[in-house]
Amino acid sequence: MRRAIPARPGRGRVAPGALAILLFAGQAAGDVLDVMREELERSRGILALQPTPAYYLSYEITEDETVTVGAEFGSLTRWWEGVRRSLDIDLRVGSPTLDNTRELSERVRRGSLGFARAAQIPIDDEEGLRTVLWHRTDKKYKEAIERFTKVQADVKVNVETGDKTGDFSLEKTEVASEDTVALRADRTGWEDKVRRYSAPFADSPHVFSANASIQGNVETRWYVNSEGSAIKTSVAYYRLSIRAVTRAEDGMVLPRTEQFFSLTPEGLPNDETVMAAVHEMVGDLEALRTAPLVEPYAGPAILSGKASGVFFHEILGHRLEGHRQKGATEGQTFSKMVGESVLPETFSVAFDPTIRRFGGTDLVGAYRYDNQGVKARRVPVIVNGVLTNFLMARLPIEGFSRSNGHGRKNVGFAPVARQSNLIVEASETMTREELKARLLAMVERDGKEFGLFFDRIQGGFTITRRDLPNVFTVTPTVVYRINLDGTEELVRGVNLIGTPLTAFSRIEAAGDDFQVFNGTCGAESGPVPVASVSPSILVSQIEVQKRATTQTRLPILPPPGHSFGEMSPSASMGETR
Amino acid sequence: MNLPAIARHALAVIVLVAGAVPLAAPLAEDSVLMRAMRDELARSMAELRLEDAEKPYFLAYRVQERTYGGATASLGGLLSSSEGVNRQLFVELRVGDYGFDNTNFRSMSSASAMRPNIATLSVDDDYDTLRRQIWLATDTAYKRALDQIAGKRAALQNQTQVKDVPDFSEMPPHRYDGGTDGQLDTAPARTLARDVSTAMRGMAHLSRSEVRVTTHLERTWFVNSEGTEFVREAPYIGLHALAAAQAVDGTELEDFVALWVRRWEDLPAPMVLAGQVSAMTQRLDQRREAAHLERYAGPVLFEGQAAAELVSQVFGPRLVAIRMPTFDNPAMQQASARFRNPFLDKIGSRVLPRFLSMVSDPTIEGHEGVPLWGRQPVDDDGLPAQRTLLVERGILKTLLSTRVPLAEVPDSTASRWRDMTVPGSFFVTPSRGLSDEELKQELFALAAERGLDHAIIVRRIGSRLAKLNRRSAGYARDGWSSSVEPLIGAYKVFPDGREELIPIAVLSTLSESDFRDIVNVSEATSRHDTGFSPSVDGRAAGFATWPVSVITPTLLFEDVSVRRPRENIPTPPLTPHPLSKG
Repeated sequence: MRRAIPARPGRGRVAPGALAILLFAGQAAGDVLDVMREELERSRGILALQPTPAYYLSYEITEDETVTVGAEFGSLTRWWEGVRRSLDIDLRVGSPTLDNTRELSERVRRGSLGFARAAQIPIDDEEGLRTVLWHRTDKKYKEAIERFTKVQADVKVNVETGDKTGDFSLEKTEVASEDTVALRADRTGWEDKVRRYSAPFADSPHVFSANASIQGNVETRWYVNSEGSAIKTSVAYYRLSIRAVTRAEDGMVLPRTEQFFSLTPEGLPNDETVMAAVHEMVGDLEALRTAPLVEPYAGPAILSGKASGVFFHEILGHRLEGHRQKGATEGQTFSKMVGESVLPETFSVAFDPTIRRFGGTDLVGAYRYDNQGVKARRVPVIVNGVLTNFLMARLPIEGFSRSNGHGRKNVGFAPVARQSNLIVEASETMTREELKARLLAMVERDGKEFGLFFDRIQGGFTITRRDLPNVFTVTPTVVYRINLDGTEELVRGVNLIGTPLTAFSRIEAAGDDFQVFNGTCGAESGPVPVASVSPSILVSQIEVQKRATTQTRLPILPPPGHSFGEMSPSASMGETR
Repeated sequence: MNLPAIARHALAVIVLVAGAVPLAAPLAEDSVLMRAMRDELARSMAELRLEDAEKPYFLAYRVQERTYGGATASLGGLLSSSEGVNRQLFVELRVGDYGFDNTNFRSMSSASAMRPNIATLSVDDDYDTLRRQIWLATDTAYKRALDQIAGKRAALQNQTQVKDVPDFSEMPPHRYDGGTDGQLDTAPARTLARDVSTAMRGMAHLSRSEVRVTTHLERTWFVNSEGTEFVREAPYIGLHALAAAQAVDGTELEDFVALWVRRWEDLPAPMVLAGQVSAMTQRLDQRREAAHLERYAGPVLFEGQAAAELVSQVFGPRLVAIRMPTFDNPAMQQASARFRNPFLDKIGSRVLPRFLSMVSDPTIEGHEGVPLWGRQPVDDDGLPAQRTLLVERGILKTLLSTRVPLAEVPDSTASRWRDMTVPGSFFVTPSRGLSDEELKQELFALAAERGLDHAIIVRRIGSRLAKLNRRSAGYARDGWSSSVEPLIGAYKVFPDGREELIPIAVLSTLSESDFRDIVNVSEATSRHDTGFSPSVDGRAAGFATWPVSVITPTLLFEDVSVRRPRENIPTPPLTPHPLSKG
């Protein structure tokens, strides 16, 4: 039965300055899938005969190959290269109506910790592959029957929830195989780039950290399940991140970040574009240090496309994730609102993992199959303002019995419904000037002195549980005050906060300037890459709260090579545009 | 010092280099990095001061650069591999004076002030960037130090220190330049891990197996405000082959092969390695079928590796003096008392039999031609390594310590590694001993006194460095608990020469105080390498492990309780091993 699995081809190293050529690896995957399938069938045959039979089994092997380089103030601080192969198993006992994965009540669950656990597995050796699959399946089965006993007891002693749907949906068999993408890491070239990108910050005595990093990674997944699906996918991600931090006289830490993402190394911006962004960051940081603080405020605001993308991700996206409509501890904001109008009818929202690119930017939330072997598809969730659908993994919920290809996870976690590429569409849009004019009219109408413009953001977070306030926060890095006279003034020190339904009811209009935000979303199934495409939006009322700050003084001594004079605070009142 | 036995032992070892080499500048240490460290140190000592607050009285920079590579493989297939480089700066800044400063204090209310002063440094030797990074890290450290000393003074307003021991000991300057021109190729790790793991193929009794190969080239640059400077380089290659099997009754069994070398060429030949791994898998197979020992109380002989592990896991941790900090929370102050090393009160008392002495020696390069672990030319305070006589003819003379004095151990033994105290190579030296045969006879005689028809010999004990389940390895272990890893090579032995293997057993009670009653030892000593788990404030420092060589004779204890592990046994696999279907 021994079979040699062809060795995986090495990484395509690209010489500095050489023209990068897309490389694809050989056809090693077929054999890995075959061995996985054979071992799955062998275990399933035996486990199906046990007193508590296994009714479903899937294996997912993930190979993650990564190269990272980082620099600060023009000098290299680190490089790292690595590869890791991990195995995740979904093994279910009971039946699709009630199985071992059923959420336990708080009473039973207390004390159990949700650490990620994935076994490492060799893929280039058949005996190793089979042995790890065998050993981990046995372990997983034993865990499953133990948990199923708890589930059965829990179901008996707790009141039934309103949702009578089961624990697992049956899905179509999928068979597909992609070639392994080679990681095209030009480490020497990348080192040179991150040095150059982080160097201009060294000229500013007020910048206290300035990092540039480039990371390339290829994630190759082999997936088989007992329904006959066998899928291999391979995708590369390339990220350039630049983050610099200054501090105001009052101790407030002021970061400024830029992130670029691409599915190919040549899709990352060229040096000229990056250096322009770096110089803009240096200017912004200088201006931010002395920008005036904004006091807590409620009033009209414009959110840039990136800011509104994160806004929609937090207040809408997380609340449409299927399992959150079922969990007894979840807020279930939108569970009973299907068919109701939740946004102005000019707005539609879809999640679409099949789109790989928008307006010249690759989208990191794209994939072909989710982590439960279900094909990715476009899911319109809001059509002309009306809520129509949820994001579904293979956990059914009332009225939505099947997955729509959004069962996602990171290695070691169990998949749940997660977001992909969030696409906000607007049937009516306005130019930036029109949005601004309408904002100013609202400011005047409300008797305010100014409105706000949230330009650049770091990210955000939200709470969806019902035992805590259902709030969201978007953390901006660049915010402008738009004064009644139309001038725009850089300000600092606020986060955008709110509650979902109120925030939604205040959305007034969309701009015509769509922007992409690529990021990583963290939730119970681990960090997953997500993107949003959204126009800027006008909101009749948002609320901001003061940002947490430190009381740490500025450095006592001037930077080496600088005099004290250069360190003294500038008298400027902030940048005005 | 009159220690003939130890002196004899010292003659038996190959001394290649002993101690630090005094230097005359300029040396290899005149690198851009050292220049940046010195310049920022000088500026900080001269100018760093916040209004009316105290100036730093002591400042040290330690930069650690780690070039690392590693690979893990199973049955010939790669599980993971990585390589990389990074540099970290550790700033030690003290305000106050040697008698009373900001250290030896833990605040429960001001967590940010207690954070370690660690910063990332550039690996490019760019003077301006390095200066800037060091400047910012020093500024943070100074502000934290001021917070700490204020917190400590506030806490002590309501407490009276029983003993007035200085916070830091003053030391004369010392310089050492070990160079930084060594090379360690990380590339062979992948191939080696794969190749060695191949030796475990085709064995249906193994449920899991793994080979980890780790390489580090650690370079350290150090300057302090007392004028001490050093540059040190330490290569490390570790190979761990681990395997697990389930006994016929389901009991989980593990075994390992662990070795560390400084250079690739010092690794045994592939055939030899494969032989060691194969022997390990055979041992596991034999243990699967063996009958359990339910309970035993009586004499036990610890040979070779088992004796070395016992010294490292039970006796060794007590030979380290750790100063308990002042807490700003009385409950924590009280709780910390249970981590106090009982040996602090035993200095001058007998802790070993009169025929045993013990030394920690970081100055000896090799033993019988093989480099020793625990050697370092200077410690992380920059002090020249020194041999420390810990136990002389059974009497505890002192404990290993750093520049943080204790009432019982006022002087540093140059034993600092990072923020921990670690030994050099341990030498347990007998002034008299028996031959192996005589020792066995004594073992049986002791057993007979108790009416036992057999005794126990332990040849292998699990290592804290080599476990398949890394999550449990060394995790939050209480530094003073006497738990010993399971006995993985224990035998019931009979006077007629018969030996019965015990699949797995644990020592139910064995503590440092039992070493006093060792009844006899072998005349000959043997060397084994093991992982020493250092502690911080008396508690185990997580995953930090310090490889150390232990040279010890076979140890005969009169009263040891051995039993079967109490944990429930997992059921055997439901599905047969993939290899077993033919």
